[in-house]
Amino acid sequence: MRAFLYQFDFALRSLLRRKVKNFSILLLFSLIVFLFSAVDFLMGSLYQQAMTALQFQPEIIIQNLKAGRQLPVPLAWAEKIRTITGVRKVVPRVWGYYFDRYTGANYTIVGLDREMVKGLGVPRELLPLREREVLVGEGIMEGRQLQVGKRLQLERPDEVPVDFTVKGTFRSRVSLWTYDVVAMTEEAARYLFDLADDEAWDLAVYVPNPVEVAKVGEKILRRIPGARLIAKDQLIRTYGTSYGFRSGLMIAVSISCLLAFFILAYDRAAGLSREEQMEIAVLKALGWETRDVIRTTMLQSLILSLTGFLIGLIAAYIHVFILGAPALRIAFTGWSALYPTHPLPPVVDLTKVMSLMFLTVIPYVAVGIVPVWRSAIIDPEVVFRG
Amino acid sequence: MNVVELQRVEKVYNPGQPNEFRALKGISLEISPETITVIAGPSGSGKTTLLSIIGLMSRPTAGRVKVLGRETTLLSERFRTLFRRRHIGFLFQEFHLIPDLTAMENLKIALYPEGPSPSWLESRCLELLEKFEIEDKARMRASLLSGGEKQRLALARALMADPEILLVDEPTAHLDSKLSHEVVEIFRQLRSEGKTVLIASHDPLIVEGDLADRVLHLKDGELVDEVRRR
Repeated sequence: MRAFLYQFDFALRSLLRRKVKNFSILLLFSLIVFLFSAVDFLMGSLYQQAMTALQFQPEIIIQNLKAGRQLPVPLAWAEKIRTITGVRKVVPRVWGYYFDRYTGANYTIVGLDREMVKGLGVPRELLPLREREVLVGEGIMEGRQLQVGKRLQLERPDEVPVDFTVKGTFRSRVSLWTYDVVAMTEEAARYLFDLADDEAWDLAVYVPNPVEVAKVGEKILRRIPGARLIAKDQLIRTYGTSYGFRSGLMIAVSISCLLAFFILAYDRAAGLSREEQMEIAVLKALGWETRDVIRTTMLQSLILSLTGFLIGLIAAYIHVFILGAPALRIAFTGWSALYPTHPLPPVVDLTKVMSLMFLTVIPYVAVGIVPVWRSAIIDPEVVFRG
Repeated sequence: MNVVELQRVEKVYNPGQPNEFRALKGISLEISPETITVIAGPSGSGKTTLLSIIGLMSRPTAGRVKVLGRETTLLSERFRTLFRRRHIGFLFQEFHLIPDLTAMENLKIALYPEGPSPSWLESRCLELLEKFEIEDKARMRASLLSGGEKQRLALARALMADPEILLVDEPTAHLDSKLSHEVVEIFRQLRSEGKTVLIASHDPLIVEGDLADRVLHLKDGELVDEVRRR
């Protein structure tokens, strides 16, 4: 054990003796791990947020399309669907996007119904809303420099201004989704969007038994042939693809990281410098066994790669979950001009972290063994002779 | 009992290749304990190769090598290494210190694989640094030491495990006359302490002086002459 500790100490000192070279490797290693982990952490967190938001989504959403464009849904459709066996509830939803010329941002205007209240996590004490009262997401509060009790003026499509009073703000578990939301009564939203009383923007169809969803979908299409159905499962799969490993950015980052890592590992495997070979020969001449030399070299690689891995991982965690991923967020958070300034909720997949460690640290340690072994089995005298 | 016994030892470098070279041709000799034996001869005569084979750093192509009564030719690489670590000290012509390590660290690494207690290891290093009067250089990097200091540090490192045999290659090659005489005195002292010293040299101070108990002359890989002084 003591011999091992001496060798560990020697390995550590050897790393410090070649500061510039080893610091460069450490930096590159950390950067590779940082880049990969940061993207993965961010995607994981966004995916988690998306999944949380989807919990409150209906099993089926019905839209009205004409020439590929979305149109309001006639409320008569709701009556046709309500009578289908397996359907618990059909909720007409009034919501839409609003471009605010003052902040240059897109707001999401939501006419609150009971399901929306649950989904957005609106605090109970702020309900019910009166006709011209609104709840405003944090982003809009900051962007428009609003305060509770102040006036928020929006415009109808015919440019008629509509004044609202800010009743409160809210920050839900899915803050990324509520940051740009203005929640109001359904009637107010209908007035703001100039939506007819017998129309909604889409219909939320709740089907308690997941096995019946497909069957209900078929029946809806039979009753309303032109309707567009979006199933919750479909949304989950879409998010999985967008935020998962298959997404283009993740693949690009992974390939870049892999390439950089291979270059690093190749340099390690390519061979030893004359100075390193001489040092091994000296140690062998002094009575170090081949396995002592290999163990010391492995310890050096392990210290270097593990330190690099931990630095990269911790830096990625800080960057994403404490600083709010300033360098990456813009690429992932969609088209809205308002992004939450507070950090994303930490979501760390330990299996992925361990896999990344085994795919970087272990290969880096392993590739260094062969050149050291090759040097260590040469008679020291041959090395000294050059 | 002889400390070293060689029987018809041969060493061929690059056998079967166009650049094949026979460095040793059937060397047989015995070395008695607590003696100083000088192996003399011009450059390329096989002195360093002979030391390497006796020191188990190189295997002979043919012949048998016995060290401290143990037949070493067929020992595994691992046992040869262990045997070398515990019984044989080397002083190389180029010193082969690790330049970035301090003098103290250069000594310590010789015994790292043995895993001695840190306090014992520290005191052993200090003892040898004092013995060779370089204790004030303990924390200095080896690359910053003078030639004479490097020589003494390399000698101290060779003696860390208190070996029975000390093999020395051209010890005065990089020293001036004064330092050379100091080194000669050190070898005398080591012999009086019970060490067996083998020195490969062509320096007249070593070969012709009164240091050696015995001088073996090598030429083109063969023992051509032997002078016994005691």
